[in-house]
Amino acid sequence: MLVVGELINGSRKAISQAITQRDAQTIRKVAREQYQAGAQLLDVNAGTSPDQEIDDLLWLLDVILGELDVPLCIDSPNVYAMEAGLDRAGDRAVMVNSITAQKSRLESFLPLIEAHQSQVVALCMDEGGVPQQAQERYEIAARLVKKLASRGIAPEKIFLDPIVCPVSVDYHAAQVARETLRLIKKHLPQAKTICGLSNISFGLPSRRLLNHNFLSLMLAEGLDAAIIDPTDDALMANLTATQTLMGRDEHCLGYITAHREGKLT
Amino acid sequence: MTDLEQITQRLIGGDIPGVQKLAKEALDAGIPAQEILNQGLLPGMNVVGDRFKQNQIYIPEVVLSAKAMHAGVELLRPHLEAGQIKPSATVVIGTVQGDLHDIGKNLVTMMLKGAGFEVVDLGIDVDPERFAEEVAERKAHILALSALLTTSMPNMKKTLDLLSERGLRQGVIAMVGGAPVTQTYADEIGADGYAQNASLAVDRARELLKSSTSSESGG
Repeated sequence: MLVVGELINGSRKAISQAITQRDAQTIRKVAREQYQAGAQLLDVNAGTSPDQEIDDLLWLLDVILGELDVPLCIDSPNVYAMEAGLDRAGDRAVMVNSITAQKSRLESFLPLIEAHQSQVVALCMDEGGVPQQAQERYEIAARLVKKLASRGIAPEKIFLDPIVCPVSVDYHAAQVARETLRLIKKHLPQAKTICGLSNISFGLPSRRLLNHNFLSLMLAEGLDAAIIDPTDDALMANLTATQTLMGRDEHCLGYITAHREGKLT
Repeated sequence: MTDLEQITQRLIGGDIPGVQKLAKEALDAGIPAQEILNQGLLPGMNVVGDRFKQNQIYIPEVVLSAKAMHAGVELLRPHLEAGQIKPSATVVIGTVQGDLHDIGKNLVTMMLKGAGFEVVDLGIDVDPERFAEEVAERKAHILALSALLTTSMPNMKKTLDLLSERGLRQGVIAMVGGAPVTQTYADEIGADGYAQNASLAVDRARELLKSSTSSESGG
């Protein structure tokens, strides 16, 4: 399971403050903590006002690239910010986050993805928004894979996101995400899958409890990557335990090692 | 406890059949529909809004109460004389062009409806032209714009600019919201109001309406 660290996101107060004040120390610290906690990839989202986004993103990238040798996932719906970010980070930027099946967004991002041969997060939504049914979400996924293939992008490079909506708004939301994942795994077995967690628990108390259990359910469906907070020790322990229960941990050595390193308590 | 207080309690509890049953009984007992609305249903939604703001209740509970409110109003509607369900104001709401997110926008819509506003929801990916048309046609008091993407935020400004161009901007209160939107951004693009969540959006809408009507009568 690929762990993408989610903490460098301008929609978080501490990060947006660090960006505004050009406080490199805070960014370096958050980057290092995620890396040490087990993130294999760091998501970078400047997420501030549109006029500022490119400057802010480039500043973030410079700070992180100077601190750590970790691959990056550049997170912006803005194709100009994405282009600037990919150019700045070079081969360290391995993932584009994200495209949708919306024509304008897809067409503008395709040449970039093709040129950089990067991995890409593809959201199962189109002009009509996020479909309520899993079947329709899967059909968008299939269209995206086909479209990307026509530009020479292999399915292994595509991380399909089934889209996680809050269960507080629609109590079937977790089930729909699982079912979408199941359909993708069945019909598009070469493509990878990814999702965020925290949206599932929006609007409810004790959010971590829901996030943790949801991660286990999604892993059971074969989720390949998750955009999560790797500094959440209980979440990472839960991840280790679930992998062991899924037969992905030979002779349980990963679990035992995590125990010896004090990571399970 | 009077019957109307019981309706309020059922509404707070999100009991849809209960609200329907008691509202019907109240009607049968000869209580005017207007009174049932004003003293039974609306106070309930006010309590729900306050409790939500204070994190005492959660989104699913608010959704159920709003549904109970809606069911109650539908039951009363035939018994209210035309013009008696006087909405406090008309709100035109939508997610701006290039943006397909609607969860937050839907919550705001629900809360505004619950608070007695007449809400015209234009849905997602709404272009400035359409907003301008609807604001003019519906004689909207408030225009509420939602954006969840940094790429779509500039379309909030475009929409407000188009309203100015058409001479519509002065006549409508413009509110903006959505995860990446801030008070600073709202000020930057000349919006009248910003709120951080659905419940605060209702409060803000009321405040803005109040100050706009008082300035009108003053001038």
